[in-house]
Amino acid sequence: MDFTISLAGVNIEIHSLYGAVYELCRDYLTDHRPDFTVSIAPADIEFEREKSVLEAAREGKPYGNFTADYLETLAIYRKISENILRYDVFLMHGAVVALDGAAYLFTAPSGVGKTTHTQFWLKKYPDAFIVNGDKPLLRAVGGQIFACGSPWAGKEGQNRNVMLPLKAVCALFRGNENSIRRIAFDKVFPLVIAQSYRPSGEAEMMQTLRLIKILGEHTRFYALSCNLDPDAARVAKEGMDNDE
Amino acid sequence: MKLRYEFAIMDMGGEYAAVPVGKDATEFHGMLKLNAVSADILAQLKEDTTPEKVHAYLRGKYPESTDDEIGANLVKFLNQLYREGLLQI
Repeated sequence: MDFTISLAGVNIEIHSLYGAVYELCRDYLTDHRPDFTVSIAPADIEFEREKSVLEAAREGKPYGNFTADYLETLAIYRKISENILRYDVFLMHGAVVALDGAAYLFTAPSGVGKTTHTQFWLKKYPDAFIVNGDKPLLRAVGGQIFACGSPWAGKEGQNRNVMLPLKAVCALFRGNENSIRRIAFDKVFPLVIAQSYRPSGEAEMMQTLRLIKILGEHTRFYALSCNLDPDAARVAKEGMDNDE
Repeated sequence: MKLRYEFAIMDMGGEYAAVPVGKDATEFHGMLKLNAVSADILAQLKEDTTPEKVHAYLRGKYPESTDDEIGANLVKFLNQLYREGLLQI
């Protein structure tokens, strides 16, 4: 199938072998002229299958026996993530929640509780919504960072086609009590790099590091120690909002 | 001696990030957080070189440091790279 989507303000023409990715991208379709094109060949799908097998083995998990149309969605997002870098956009693993026109990015290794925490926000603040629950895109525009929706949004698939100024990045840690503190970028940039899409080429990796550096110059960073008490949402929001 | 992988190195504001790149770099999932001297050493190791050549380079760049200081820092960092499988001898 051939169609064009808009992600982070960049128009991307997609040539896919299967229809699943078209269904995935329905909310992001556009008629605008594409900025670049992504095409998929069977070898790209096989690459994703082999990568999934290796990752499952490394993590000691059973291989999920994924379908070709699902693997194609992974292959397409990989190619988008590599090519969209030249538009000052990069993928950072995390969950972005939006409230009152601003976006907050929560990041942590898998299993720490990003989804649980952002669900607390949705319950506590009725106007809050998820921009992307797993793989948001961040765009640097004129010294400001924007968090952007994307249909590639993990198991829950929570996402919305918006682009909002990023107010803060918050690293989540499990703790006995809910508390938040500001952290310096030089302490947190290894985590940010670990959570960002890692392209294979040197020029692309240099561009990713350059964008992460811009993120560090224009965004505040926090560490949230949190338990499973829904009050963690209030602690996080007030901690970030009251630290102007 | 030479680095096993190519590295992208970036000054992140006083401290440096070094991330392996290239097809084989998927074997190493981490990154290195370096000070300016270690970042200089890493950059020298992109091409095949010797400890003596790197030492001489550092002496030229950091004339305020003694031979012993430069040597101790160089050996410590090279050993660290070797232990982590990042240096080919």
